[in-house]
Amino acid sequence: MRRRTSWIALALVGGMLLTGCGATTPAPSNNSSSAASAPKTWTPDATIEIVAPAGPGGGYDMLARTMERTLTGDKLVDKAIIITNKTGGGGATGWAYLNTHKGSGNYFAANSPQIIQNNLLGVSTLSYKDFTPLAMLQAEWEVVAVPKDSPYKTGKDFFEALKADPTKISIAVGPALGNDDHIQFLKLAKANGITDMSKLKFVVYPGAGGEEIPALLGGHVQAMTISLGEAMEQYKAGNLNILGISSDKRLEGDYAKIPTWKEQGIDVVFPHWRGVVGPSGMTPEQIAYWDNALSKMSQQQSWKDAMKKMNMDVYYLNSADYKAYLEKSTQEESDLLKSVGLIK
Amino acid sequence: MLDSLNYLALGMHEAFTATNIFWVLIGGILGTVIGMLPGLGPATGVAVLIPVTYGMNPTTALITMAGVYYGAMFGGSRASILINTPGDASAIVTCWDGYPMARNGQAGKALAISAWASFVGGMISVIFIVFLALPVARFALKFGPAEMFALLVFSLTATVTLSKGNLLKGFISLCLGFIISTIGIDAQTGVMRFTMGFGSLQDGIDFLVAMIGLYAVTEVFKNYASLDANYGVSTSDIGKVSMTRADWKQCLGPILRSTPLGFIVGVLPGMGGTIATLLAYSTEKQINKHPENFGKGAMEGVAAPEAANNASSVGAMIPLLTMGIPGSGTTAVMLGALMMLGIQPGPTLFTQHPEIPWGVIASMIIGNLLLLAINLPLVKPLVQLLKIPQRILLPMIMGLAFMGTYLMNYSASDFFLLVLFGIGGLLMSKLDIPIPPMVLALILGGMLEQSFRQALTIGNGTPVLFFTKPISIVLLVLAVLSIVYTLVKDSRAKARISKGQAA
Amino acid sequence: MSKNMITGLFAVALGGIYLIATLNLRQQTMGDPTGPKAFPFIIAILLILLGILLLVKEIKTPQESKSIVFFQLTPEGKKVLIRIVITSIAGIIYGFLLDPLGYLISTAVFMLGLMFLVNTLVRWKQNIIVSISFSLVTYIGFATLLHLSLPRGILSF
Repeated sequence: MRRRTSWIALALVGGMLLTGCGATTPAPSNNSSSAASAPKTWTPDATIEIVAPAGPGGGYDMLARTMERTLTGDKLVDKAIIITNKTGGGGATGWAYLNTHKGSGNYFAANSPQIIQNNLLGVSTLSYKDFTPLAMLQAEWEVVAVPKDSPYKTGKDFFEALKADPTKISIAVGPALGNDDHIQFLKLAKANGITDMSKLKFVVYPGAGGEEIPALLGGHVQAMTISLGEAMEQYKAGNLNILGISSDKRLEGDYAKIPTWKEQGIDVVFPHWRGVVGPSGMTPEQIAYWDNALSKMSQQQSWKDAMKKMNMDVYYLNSADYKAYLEKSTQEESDLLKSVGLIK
Repeated sequence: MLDSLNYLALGMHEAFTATNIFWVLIGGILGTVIGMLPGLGPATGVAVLIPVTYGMNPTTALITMAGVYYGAMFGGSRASILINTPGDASAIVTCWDGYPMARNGQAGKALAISAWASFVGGMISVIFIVFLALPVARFALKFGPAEMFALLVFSLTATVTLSKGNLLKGFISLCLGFIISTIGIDAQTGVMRFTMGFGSLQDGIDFLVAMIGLYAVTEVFKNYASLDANYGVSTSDIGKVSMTRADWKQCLGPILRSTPLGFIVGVLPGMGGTIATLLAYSTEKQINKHPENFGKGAMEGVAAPEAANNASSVGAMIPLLTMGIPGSGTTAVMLGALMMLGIQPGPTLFTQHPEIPWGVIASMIIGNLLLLAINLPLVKPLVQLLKIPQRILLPMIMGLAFMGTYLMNYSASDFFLLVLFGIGGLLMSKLDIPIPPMVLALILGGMLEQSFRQALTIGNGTPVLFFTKPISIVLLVLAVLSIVYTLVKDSRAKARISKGQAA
Repeated sequence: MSKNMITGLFAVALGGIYLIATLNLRQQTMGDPTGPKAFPFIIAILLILLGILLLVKEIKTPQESKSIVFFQLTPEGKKVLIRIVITSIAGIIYGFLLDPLGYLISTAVFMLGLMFLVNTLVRWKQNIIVSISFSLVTYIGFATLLHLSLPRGILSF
């Protein structure tokens, strides 16, 4: 046990160094430093349960299962981990289930901007405030894609045309309005000075995944707002053009040619992220334990490899920063959704 | 053409390893078992295999998952035939003649026909996929919202014209299904509809709960009246477990016609299997010389949907492999699992890693052969299940129905709905309201409404798209014709009866 | 009353209620021009029309060719009804017990209830064996071997 603690301290220093290099600098939080120095530390005392608030195979489930693999595979925790799938309410069922274990450090659940959006859209009464934010873990980027023979070659072209006639272009979005794909487009439209957003023709594809793509390739819609991961293959095959990406700087490799919105003079940077929250009422010791374990996890090679395979960026924020981020983005999204009339 | 054959040879080389054959066998058995249980379908089967596939090379992983998928297709109809409880949406149609066959003492034969029809349908589809994958994928792109809407209308009118008895009652049943399908959050606008304040209704009512309730629970309730009888058939007479030459002669035509139909419909996103089985069945009934036998245990009524179903599950692999687009829940799970292995299916997969898609196509051949080899010997022991006394079998069906319902959403709040549907089904059958239109409307209603509204959005709020797209026009005309045809046929039949009475 | 009569009245009543519920839905400007009301509205009207058609047709049909529902219950029918009611209630209670007690215990209890209901009290040994083995076999099969999440409940291990 003692050896473990020194390991933790060592990794913690490394962790702080590494994450310190990232774009968003996590100030060495009080929580983490107290883990090393405080006399009372906490470790999981029973089987750890990760709640995936969706069925097997989805984004939440894959996050939970990758976490299980890295945490147990690289021996970052010494208790067994099981994954519980709770489908429904756009995640709300799983998160509500999490809070049946108030104050326990052995349970946590995957989450995403959905936890904010559901609350804003009135789908769920739960907000991030009902939980203990533990860490943001991964991010992917959003794009707007058009068919390869589309008359619109740049983001500017596209939004100029849309500004002139908001009903001119059918835009595919899925699986629901008010999600990150949709919000990206609203932000872009706003930044381009489109005022009457209720006129925009959003065609919603609520299916299992990626039905926007055949709709675009078949010429049934003229544009789609989607995550890069979903559009990537068709982009690589040259079947569609990507007008812009929501990252702060250009990506590498195959995607180096995709211009960011920022460099096109459209001030939008927008990650689609996932993270984990614990139940409400966790103690500082419990939070410190997970700050430590999860920061270590996001530096493991196995974790980085897994994220890369899923076309995700490792995007780690510790519990304190994550909480601040949630607070900020709740305010932003609420303002945006209000301004387009999706909420009152 | 030659290219395809070369690639297929490469795929064969890739697939025919001892490891791969072992895993396709495991996948096939697991899929068959999972497919048989109500509520558990191929999506769950593939999902539970994800952790197992972590350590595998991508081809083996994809082959294993494809094995589960096809296994579940084979297995889905077992329960339809034996206890009138479809294991999955695409096995509903098999109930219509499979279960009557079992009641007529032909359970063994029905199971054998379904296994053979699945096999032949699957094998021919593999040939299609080898030579036609790309043109078919291109054709499927033509299906936008208007075409999907028209196809759904056509399929749903088929469910009504097929259901026995009163056409009006069939349509009423259809409307009930639509009403249930509108409960929950509206996908296009996010507006909450008809949830009556229940949070658990937000996501709508899962068609599987309705299906298990209306079939399994209702069936158990009905059998509460005859506890001492044996379930379905008398134990002494389970019938032959193989197909005779005459059976083959009768079933081959339906199988050969249903396969291409199922294959093409399977390529379309969404509920390919359900639509494919429906259209295959209705086509066969329309052209059969003795349509009156359908619904009473006609062999063609088992062979056609089974062949179409397997063909559609092969077709469903096309969008996944050629475009990286999962057309169904199952292929969505497969896509996720593959991405975790670092494989991104899509247009570049065929050029950069041809061994993977072609290995999968080759494994379908192996998989189909093995599944036939698994399923034919299973016929006898499965039929023996009917020998379990009703007093023990009924509670077990009930237990499985509840377990399946729980595993669907990992939530026990659906139990209330399950019971409600069980009672509702009983009342409907007491009033002679056909159940299938309601279940199928519930399954397809969401898609129908969405495609309707998508088309209107694109058409700036006018229905212009439905009447300008050729595929849509043809399908809508066919839908109207099939209703008119049924009406005319009914009134002629009635006229003949009254004439007979007068004479 | 005849079966078609009941069905027709039911259709008209349900269609009416559904129509009222539809008209009370919130309208949304964002999204599609058709809105969330249009489709339910069409269905409601269709259902009411179908119900009326069925009623009209039924009234025209001669009395003797109508199929009638009998409400009187035979003693045997009463027994069946009791079984259905008990099973339904047991299923709902099972739903409430599943998460707190866990799958193993609650399923065994539920199955035991059904077995005693259907398989008589006399064969109590058979009932206990079937119930416990059903619960065990399905748990081992699905939770242990296939890693599907079934609730652990009070048997947290």
